[in-house]
Amino acid sequence: MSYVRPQHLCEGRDFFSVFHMTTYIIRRLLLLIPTMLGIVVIVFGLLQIIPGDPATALLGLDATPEMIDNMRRVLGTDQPWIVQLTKYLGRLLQGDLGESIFQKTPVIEVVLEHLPATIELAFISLLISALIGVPLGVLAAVNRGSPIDLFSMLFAQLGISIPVFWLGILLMLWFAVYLDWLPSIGRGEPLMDAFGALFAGHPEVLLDSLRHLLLPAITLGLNGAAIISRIQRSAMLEVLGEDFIRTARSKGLVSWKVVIYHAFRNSLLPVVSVMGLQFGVLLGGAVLTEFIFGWPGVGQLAITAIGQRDIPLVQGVVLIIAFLFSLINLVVDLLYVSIDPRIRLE
Amino acid sequence: MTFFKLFRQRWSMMVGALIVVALLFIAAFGPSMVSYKPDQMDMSNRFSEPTTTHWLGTDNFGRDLWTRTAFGARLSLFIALISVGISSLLGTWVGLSAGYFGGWFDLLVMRVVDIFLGFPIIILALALIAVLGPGPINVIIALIAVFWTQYARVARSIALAEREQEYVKAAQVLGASNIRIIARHILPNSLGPILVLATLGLGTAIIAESALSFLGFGVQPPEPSWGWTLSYGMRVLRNAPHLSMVPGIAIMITVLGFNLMGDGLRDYLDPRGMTK
Repeated sequence: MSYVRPQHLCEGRDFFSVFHMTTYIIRRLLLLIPTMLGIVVIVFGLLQIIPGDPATALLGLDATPEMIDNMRRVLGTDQPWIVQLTKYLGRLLQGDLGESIFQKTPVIEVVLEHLPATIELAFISLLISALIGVPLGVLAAVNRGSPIDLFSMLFAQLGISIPVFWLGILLMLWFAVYLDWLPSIGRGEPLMDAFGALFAGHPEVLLDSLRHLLLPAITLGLNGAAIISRIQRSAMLEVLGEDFIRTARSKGLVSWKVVIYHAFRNSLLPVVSVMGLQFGVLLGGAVLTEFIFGWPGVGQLAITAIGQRDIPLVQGVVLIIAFLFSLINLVVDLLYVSIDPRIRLE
Repeated sequence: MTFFKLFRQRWSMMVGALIVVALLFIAAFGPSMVSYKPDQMDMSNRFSEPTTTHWLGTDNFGRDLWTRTAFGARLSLFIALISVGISSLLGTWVGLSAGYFGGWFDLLVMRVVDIFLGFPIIILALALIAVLGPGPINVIIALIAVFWTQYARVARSIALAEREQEYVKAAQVLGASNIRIIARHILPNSLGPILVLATLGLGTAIIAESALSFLGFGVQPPEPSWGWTLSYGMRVLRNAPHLSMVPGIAIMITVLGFNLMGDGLRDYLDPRGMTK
C-alpha cells in the first residue's frame, strides 16, 4: 500500500522559494562576517588581557632583557594595540596565524596537522550518538510508559549528568585495564588510510585503527546519544499526536509503516538540527577525551600549548575551532531551512 | 498536598532536591563527622581502600578521601554558585535591557552574544585560563564569560514579548521609569525560565570547573578539588581505582541532582512540557 506524504513536505520548489532561499543564504553568509570578525577580536584580545607585560609573563622571571625584547617583537606587543590588531587581521587574511613560540613553526601548519584526528574522532562519535540516540528515542516514544521508555529516560539523564572525563576513565578501567580488550591510549592509522590499506589487502590496519578509536569515540559520543535520544523521543511524541498520523492509522496502515514512513520522517527535523550542533560541541568536548586517551588532535594540542603558555598557538587553535563551529552552525541552519519549507525565511 | 503525593507527581524535582540538600549537608558537616583535616597526611596508610577508619579510603599522601571529598564539595559548590550567580544576574540584566529598549542597543548586544556563542564552552574557558593563569578566581571569571550569554538570550526573548503587553504600556503611560518597568514588571516574568536555566547551569558549572581542574588549569593542589583528585586517580588507575571512583561519583551525583531539579522545575513552571 502506498502512503500519502504529508502535504507540507510536498510544497514546491518554485522560483520564489528558490529566490528566497538564495537571499537567505547570502544574508546568513554576510552575517557571518561580523561574527567572525568578533571572534578574531576576542582571540586577539586574549593576548591583551594577560596581566602585566605579555612577553615577561610568558618568559618567566629568568628572562634576560634581550629575550623579552625579542619576544615582544615576536608577539608584536611593542606597538599600540590598534596597530597590532590591524596587522593581525592583515596576516589572518593571508592565512598567517603567527608562529608557535615553542615549536618554532607556523601555527597554521601545526593546527592543520592535528585537525584531521579531531574531526575523525568527532565524526565517529556523532555516528555513535546517532546510532544509539535515534533508535532509543523512537522506541521510547512508540512504547511510551513502558520499561523501554523508562530506560531511555534514565539513560538520557545519566548520559547528560556523567562527566565525559570520568566516563572515559571508567571505560578505560574496564575495557583497557581489567579486560585488556582495547588499547588505552594513542591512535592507529588515520581511518582514511586504514580503508586504503583494507583495499590493498591489509584488514588488520583498519582493525587496529578502529580498536584505538572505539573507547574515545564512545566516551565522546555517549553524552550526545543521551541528548539525541531525548530530542528524538519528544519530537516523535509530538508527531505521533498529530492528525495525519491518526489519518494514516485509520486508513488501516500497518503500525510500523505509520511509525517509520509518517512519524519518524517528520520527527527527524529537530534531531538533524541537534546532531549538527552536536558536531560543533564534540569539537570542543574532544579536548578532554583527547587528553585522557592521548589522541593526537587539536584538543591535545591546545592543552600542551596552554601548559607551555604558547599563546600564539592557543590563539590559532581557538580561532580555527571557533571558525569551524560557526560554519557548522550556519550549515545546520541552512540545512534545517532547506528541508523544512514550513520555516518562514524572514 | 501530602509529601508523598508531591513526591509522586514531581519525583524528579524531589529526588534532585534531596540530592542537593544531602550535598549541602555533606559540604557543611561532612568534615566534622571525622577527625581528619583535608591536608592531614598519613604516609603509613597511603592508597588505603575504604575501611572503617577511612570511609572512602586514602590518597597518595594517606589523606582521608571522605574529608577531601566533603571539602571538595564546598569548593565546587562555591565556584559554581558564584559563577552562575554572577553570570545569571549579568546576563539577565543585559538581556532584559536589550529586549526592552530594542534598536541599536539590542542589535549590538545580540551580536556580542552571537560572537561568544561562536566558541565551544570549554574552548573559550580554556583560552581565558591560558592567559589569566590557573586558580579558582580565574575559573570563576572564565565561567562567567562563558555562561552569561545563555541568560541574556532567554531574558531578551522574554522582554521582547512582555514589552508589547498592556501592563507595560500602562506603566509607561503612568510615567514609570524604564528601570522601574524592567525591574518591577518584566523581571518577575523572566524569573521562572532564568531559575530553571540557573539550576541546570549549576550542574554545567560543576562539570566545567572539575574539567578545568582535571586538566590541571583550575583549582590547584593541594586544594581538595574533585577534578584534580580524579586526574591523579587516572594516573594510578591500575593500583588504586578508588581514587578515581570517589570524585567521579561525587561529580556525577551532584550534576544529576541539579539536572533533575532543573528538569523538575521546568515541568512545574511549564506544565505543557510534562507531555514531553
